[in-house]
Amino acid sequence: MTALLTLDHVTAGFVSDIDILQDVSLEVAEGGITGLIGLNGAGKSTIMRTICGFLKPRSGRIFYGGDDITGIAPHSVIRRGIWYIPQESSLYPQMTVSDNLSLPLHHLRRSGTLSRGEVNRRLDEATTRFPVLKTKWSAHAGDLSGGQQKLVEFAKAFVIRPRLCLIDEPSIGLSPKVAAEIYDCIDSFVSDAMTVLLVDHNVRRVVRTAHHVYVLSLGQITASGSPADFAGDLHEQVKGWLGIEF
Amino acid sequence: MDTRRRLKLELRVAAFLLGIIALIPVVVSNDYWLGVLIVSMYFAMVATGWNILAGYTGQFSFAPATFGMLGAYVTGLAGFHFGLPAFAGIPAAIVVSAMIGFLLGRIVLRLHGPYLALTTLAFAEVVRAAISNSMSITRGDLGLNVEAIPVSRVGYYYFFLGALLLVVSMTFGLLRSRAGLFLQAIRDDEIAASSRGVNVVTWKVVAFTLSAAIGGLAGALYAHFAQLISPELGLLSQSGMIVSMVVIGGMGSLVGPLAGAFLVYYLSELLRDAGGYQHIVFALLVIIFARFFREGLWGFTRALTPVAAIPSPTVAETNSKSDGDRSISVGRVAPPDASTSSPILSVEALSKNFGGLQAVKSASFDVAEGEIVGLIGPNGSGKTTLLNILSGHYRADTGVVRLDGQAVQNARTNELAGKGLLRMFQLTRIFRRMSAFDNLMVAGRALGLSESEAQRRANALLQDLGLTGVAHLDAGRLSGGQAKLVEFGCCFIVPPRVVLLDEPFAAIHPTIKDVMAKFILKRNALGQTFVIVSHDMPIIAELCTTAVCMNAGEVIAAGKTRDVLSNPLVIESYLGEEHDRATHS
Repeated sequence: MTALLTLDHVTAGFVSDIDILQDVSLEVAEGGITGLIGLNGAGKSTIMRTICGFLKPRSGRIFYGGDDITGIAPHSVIRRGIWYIPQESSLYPQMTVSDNLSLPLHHLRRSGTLSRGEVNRRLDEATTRFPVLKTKWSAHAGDLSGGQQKLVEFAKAFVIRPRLCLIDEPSIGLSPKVAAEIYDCIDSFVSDAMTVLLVDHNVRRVVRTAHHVYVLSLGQITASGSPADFAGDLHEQVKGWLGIEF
Repeated sequence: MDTRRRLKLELRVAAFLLGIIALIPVVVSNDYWLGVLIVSMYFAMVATGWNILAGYTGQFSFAPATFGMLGAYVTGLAGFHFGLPAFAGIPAAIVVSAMIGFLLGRIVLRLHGPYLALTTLAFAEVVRAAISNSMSITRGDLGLNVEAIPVSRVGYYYFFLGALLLVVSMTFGLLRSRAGLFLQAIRDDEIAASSRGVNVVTWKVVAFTLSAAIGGLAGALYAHFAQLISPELGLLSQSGMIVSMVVIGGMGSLVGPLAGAFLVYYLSELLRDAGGYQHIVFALLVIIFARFFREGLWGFTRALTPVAAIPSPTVAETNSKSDGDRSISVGRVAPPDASTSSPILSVEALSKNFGGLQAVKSASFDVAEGEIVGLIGPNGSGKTTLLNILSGHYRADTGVVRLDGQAVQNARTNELAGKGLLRMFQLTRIFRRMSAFDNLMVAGRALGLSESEAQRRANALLQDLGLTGVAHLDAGRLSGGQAKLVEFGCCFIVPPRVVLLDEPFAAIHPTIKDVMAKFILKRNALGQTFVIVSHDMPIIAELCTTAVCMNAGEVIAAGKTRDVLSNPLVIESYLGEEHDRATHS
């Protein structure tokens, strides 16, 4: 598989003298799930935000589909087909579920990418794919339970059909049932030819789901490989993060 | 700049202004212009009162003129119906206005921003309409005649000047005391203020009450001067004029309302012939000042006064204090044996739900006195929620928290601070428009230190933390790490019982991290207890004698740090379980 997204020696940080990411290089293979694991504070979300253009790298380059997208604005990142599902909610709590899903599509329709018929067809498909949304279609997004809101986030990505989807901690605070549903959804994204970069604190689940895994520790990539490479080694990996060997 | 230094400068300018005003009748004998100045002084008093509330405490009330009107009607009605003379009517006006201000303060306690402004605006209209429609009592829009005080116009002039002098010096006294620090702290960050031990409820109500009392005094004097009062005194346009006086003069300064009142009222007299057009002039002035000169006229004056060269906040400052010693274990004193001492902090079966999500699930653990406890756990495991319960920002659904054996799960944040439980936030919370020094003073004074003692300790702490060079800069101008150190320092101005630190080492420069780590060890050696949430495992292993690990809201391990870190359950929690035990509705 070829790389859809490449980070080439990226260094970045929010405050002038602190680099949260230090010389990070990674590749996200087209059509697969790339997993990113590490302790909280390792810089996983910062990688996501750097890709999305919310944070400009101090050095290094980001390539996407062969183009250099280093430092371009978030809206042009989205226009190129990169979608970000953040850890916290990105829904508009006082708008209905239906409006939350239509809003980004409206944008695509205005730019001529989608016809009105296609917009309606995708919204219909979303209700078929996520049946729970049908009953909540006109409810305010903020009134939904945490799990339902997460499903709306995924439904949003589903109707937009991005080429690359960045997913940050999708299962945090969710019941096992909803978490399983979310992970099924991620699998189905990939079957629909989407590419995924996945961050989850649940190491086992990432290793089980991803095709390739990177380990991030205090801002640096310390290991990478196929899930099989990690199979016997997970305990050692976590022990290393917890600093048990010193 | 420090509040103290700034006030001193302002007092001088205010005294100069009032001195000029005192001399005017010597030169001007025209009754009309003396009258204009007398009314200006009425506005200057009401504006000074409103400035305490809006400028210093950040409570943007839209009812300043209402309290002037209330004061006028109290003394007017007392004279009209009961024949009460002015010397009794004026104090009555002050008391009644203060009481109504107190009630309004209680009502709007939890309101902020537009809701506060709208509620006070509605209150203003209710009061005005009530007076206007109670024909039989107040004579409504016909207006009420008020007895004059038997003095000449110049007599009135000095009477008003005396009152204004009283109001300004009382305001100065208030701001110079600990109240000035507390009110500004509330303006900058209410949550931080309560975390430092400031009783936000009390001080907000104090600000409302004082502001109303000053309005009442001014209104009562005005009534005896004008001899005819009407509900027009409380019109929205009057309040708008008072607000514009303060904004143009300079919000949150002693001189601002004085300068603004004289300038705006004088201008309005000059523009009297222009009729409605004068409002355009004031409205435009407010827009221009609010947009370009936030500090008003006072800001210009301040810009003209020479200020000592400001040292640029640099890391080098703090660097010099860390004396290159990388080993933070130096000077470590063995903590008292956990088994022999009774716990200083104990958490018993604490639970907290948010909607369907159970963020903390029957968590229990003890913290022994003199320990440094690391609170760890994967993302979303409930660490910060637990800290928020311990520091009184959240109420637990069930469970007990004991501090020194006393159940405190229902105590308010500022009460907990008073008992010695202090907390530092993950995202720095400081008072950005106050100097670093004043930030520490707020904490010291709120916890009951005398002024000189608080100053002494604030200076010592600033020195220990390497902040002396930036001590008198507004805290909003400090670097992220320095701001964190200021908040950190606030926990130690009075020797704390337990300090809760939420990710204190996240995203700060290594030298500042070093300063903090050393400071923690130094204070721990004196017997102070710490609970630290951090994802930085090397520093947890270095600092913490004991660790508590949470996962999915539950405490899954507690004990010696090394044991906890190598506990299979803990490793398991960081791996994520195969059959997730994660909570849910």
